[in-house]
Amino acid sequence: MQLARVIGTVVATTKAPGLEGVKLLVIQPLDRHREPVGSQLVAADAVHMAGPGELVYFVAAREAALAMPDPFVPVDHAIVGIVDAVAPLSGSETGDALGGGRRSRGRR
Amino acid sequence: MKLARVVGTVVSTINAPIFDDRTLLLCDLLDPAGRPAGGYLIAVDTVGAGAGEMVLILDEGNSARQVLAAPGAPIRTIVVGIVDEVTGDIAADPVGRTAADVAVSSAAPARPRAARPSRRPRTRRGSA
Repeated sequence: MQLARVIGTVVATTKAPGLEGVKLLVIQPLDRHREPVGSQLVAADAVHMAGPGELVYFVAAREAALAMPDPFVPVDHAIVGIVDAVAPLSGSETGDALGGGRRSRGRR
Repeated sequence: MKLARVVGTVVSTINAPIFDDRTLLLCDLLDPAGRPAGGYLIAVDTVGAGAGEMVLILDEGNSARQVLAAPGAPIRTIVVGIVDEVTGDIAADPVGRTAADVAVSSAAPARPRAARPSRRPRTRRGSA
């Protein structure tokens, strides 16, 4: 799983069977310093509560479809959680590099 | 499987139900010499790994679901072990450290080896 920022929504009226009612969001995968990495993707929202601007984590490949109510849907990326915080574990020497609850810029 | 260093936890309250009561660890991927290999993964903990520890990551869905005994779970990546040391001819190390140096320096970065306290018991969580 990886972190991502939700940056938009996708509306499609004509969809493959099984995708009815599935919310589709545009996400930008992030590195662990929350800087954009890689290309933007369309992911299904398996938690039904994600929205633009939110920090989420998503799962790819076959596991994405398993996150949906019907596991036999044509979905290859799914948002499975909304991030409250990325917390350093106590004693972690790298914890301060994780950033706080806000989006950090220019780190590293 | 992959080697990685635990750098933090991902906390979330709104998530797929399978992630309730599970610890998600943010892990930086490492090469066998213990250096960052680039990239990271968010993995479900199964062994009680702690901060700064080098861990073994399983990044394959069917195996992960079997370990968790959760057949339909949307989980692909789990932590399956805590690495004590890596030995062998790690030829790719450009610094020229020996395998023994690498094992000592990479396995216990946070505290001295001798003073390392015993870890808490490894109870596997969430699977019955």
